[in-house]
Amino acid sequence: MGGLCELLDGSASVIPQRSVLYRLAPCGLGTAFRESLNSYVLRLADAHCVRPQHLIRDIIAPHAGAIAGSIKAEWARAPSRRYLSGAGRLPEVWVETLSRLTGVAELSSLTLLPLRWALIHAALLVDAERWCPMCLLEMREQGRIYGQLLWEIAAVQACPRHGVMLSSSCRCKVDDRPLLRRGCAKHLPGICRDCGRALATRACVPASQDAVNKARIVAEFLQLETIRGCTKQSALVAFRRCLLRLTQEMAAGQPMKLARMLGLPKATMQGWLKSPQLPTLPRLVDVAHSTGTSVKDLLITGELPHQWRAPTSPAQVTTRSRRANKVCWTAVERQLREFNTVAVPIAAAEAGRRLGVSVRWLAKNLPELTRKMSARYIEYRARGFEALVGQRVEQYRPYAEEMHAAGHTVLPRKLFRWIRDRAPKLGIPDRRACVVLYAEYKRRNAESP
Amino acid sequence: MTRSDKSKLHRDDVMHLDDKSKRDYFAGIRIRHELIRGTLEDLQTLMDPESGADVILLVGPTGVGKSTLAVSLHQDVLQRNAGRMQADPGFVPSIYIMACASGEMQFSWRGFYWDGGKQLAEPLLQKKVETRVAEGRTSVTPFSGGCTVIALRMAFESAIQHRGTTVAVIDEAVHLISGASGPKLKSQMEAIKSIAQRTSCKIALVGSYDLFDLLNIQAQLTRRIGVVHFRRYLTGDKADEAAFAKVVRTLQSHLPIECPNLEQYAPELMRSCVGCVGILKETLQRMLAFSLRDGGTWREKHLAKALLTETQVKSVLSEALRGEGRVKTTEFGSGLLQSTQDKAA
Repeated sequence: MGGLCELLDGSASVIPQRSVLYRLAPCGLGTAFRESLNSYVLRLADAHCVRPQHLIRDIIAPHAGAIAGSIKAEWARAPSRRYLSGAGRLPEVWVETLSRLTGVAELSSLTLLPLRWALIHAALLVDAERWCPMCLLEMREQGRIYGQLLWEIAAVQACPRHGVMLSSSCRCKVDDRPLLRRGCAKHLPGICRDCGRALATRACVPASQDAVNKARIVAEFLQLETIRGCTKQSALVAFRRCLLRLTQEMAAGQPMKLARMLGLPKATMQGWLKSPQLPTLPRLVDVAHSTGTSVKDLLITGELPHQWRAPTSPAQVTTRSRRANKVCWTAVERQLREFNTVAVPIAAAEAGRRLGVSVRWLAKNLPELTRKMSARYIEYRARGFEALVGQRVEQYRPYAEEMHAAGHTVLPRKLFRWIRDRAPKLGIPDRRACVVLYAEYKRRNAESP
Repeated sequence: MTRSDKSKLHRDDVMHLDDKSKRDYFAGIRIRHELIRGTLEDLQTLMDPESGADVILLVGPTGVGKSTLAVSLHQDVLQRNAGRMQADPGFVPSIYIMACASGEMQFSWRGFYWDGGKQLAEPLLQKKVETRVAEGRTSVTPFSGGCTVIALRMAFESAIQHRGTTVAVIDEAVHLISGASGPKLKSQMEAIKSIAQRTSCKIALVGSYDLFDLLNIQAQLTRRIGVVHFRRYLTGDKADEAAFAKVVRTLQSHLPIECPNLEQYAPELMRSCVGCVGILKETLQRMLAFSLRDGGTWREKHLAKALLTETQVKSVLSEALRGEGRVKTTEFGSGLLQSTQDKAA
């Protein structure tokens, strides 16, 4: 018998078990400007061409085991109130589940988990979505847009690279751009969920040097994730040691004097020296900024750097709540009178934010001025609304006439749907304008015989 | 018996099994003969990223073994990337899709993308949404219980990109163009070409000579198509006759019945099977079934009954000759250099 042909192996065409989700590479790994887990989940959903809630409900949560309900509940919150990028148990489960589903091992770097030895969970993440418009512009040119972990940290108010304030609202809120229909929002970093436009823009508010400096301190802090062997205990010891050195250098060994120099309450300083609790991250950053040190000096080395010099007039640490009797009310009153004369009125809450005083204190201590400011603002908004509604009524009038001519009764909800289906370019119709038109037609019908 | 179980068995293991297991065993036998090897090499050349071909047509007469070759190509790509698949659990180097006839007037792209998505282990196929960019605004289609074909296409392209797929083999590709002509045919081809260009994935369309219709659409589209002809063994060619005899010998060595040397029937089998190994395999499969029904004893009449009728042979042969006439100037490697063209003139 001559030679034979070889056989083809039929079993080799079976593809081995693949990962459930794509092995999407996180952006910016190894740098302080790395992606956040929130942004990674959104990009993963976009890559799979599904809505994020479907991805989480149908794929991620079932793989999370007993904590599936918490995962779904976390995502069900408003986007600004999701704390996936934190340092607690829930981010840990998210990271572990996503790593298993995607096969990507470095996902914990997208959260604050590698740095949890230095953190306490109060005032860690901000409860608003924020971004740097200039960073988004650069990312758009490079073809890859993502949300940075830095933007989610409460202690950061500005972008350390571009020196501009982080933005938290799209121009559609100001310009009254047409909004997207319900259910049409694209959930992706860099895109407004209300109007669908890109958030990248050159129109930015410059940040103060203090804000930029603090952002740089947090950026340096994020790069400490590569340091191994640090624990809460070692951080506490290093912090106290550094604090004592600062007291020695700046306040001649008197901790309360240092507290006064930095604008800290005495109880806070005593707590730092005695209790087994590290300060919150915003407070830590403030101290580092005021004393000219870094978070690494405070929490790891515990020593002042060689080239360090004591600042001559250290910046006051920002306190979240100031006592009412510490506020200079004369200056506040003068400022409020100025706010009442500007062309574009502002709300009392905005005035309080600018002055660093809560609106309740303003109302309690300067009731007349606060009431006058609020009334002025409400009237301005009402005028603006009226003008806007008037404009919309004129825009919708042809459609109402078309609907009336077709034999339909002009009712607010019917008119809303009529305009939405026939004029998608106008965006979501304004219900107030529909109500005004309905009232007009009702009056017309009542007057006609 | 599963496919992997069958592939591990030898003829001697099967001899004492029941008739069904014997038939299943022989049905699972696939051989790598001379023509498969040569055609596979041509395919691999065109699969190279520098070849310039986005779409590759693999054509041949019916029963020659195109599907076997397509599976072989798919296996080859998987084997070459086995190491990387081990290291990267998200990597899928090659997919194999059977383009199904939906029973409707036109091809069902929804079904095609669905099958492709399954091959790529794509989750939530029923919940894909389509991203739209209009007037500077990005939005998604409202999800109302079903996904559109465009959403499935976007998801399919995204899956190919993210899974790193470099080869997509589409068998029975004739169904893609069935019932289509003129602008419809052009749009079908453009859809395929668009997938290939947007994802940098080579698409191999496997089917009968009817796929040549795709070459007559437009020069711009034709330029990026490579044609590989999987020919049959030709009667009168000594080398082909010897190779065909080797195929008969190999298949007989796996027949789970005792029979005399079938190589003596090789010329007759070659004529009756029109030189197509696939038809030969089916003929021997029928012969085996007849023999097993007759108590497992081989008789010559079993072979005679298993052969194709004269009408069938004429039909297959005329289709093959028509196709071979068309393929002369279009298959891969048929381009002439100027000096050769002058000599030919």
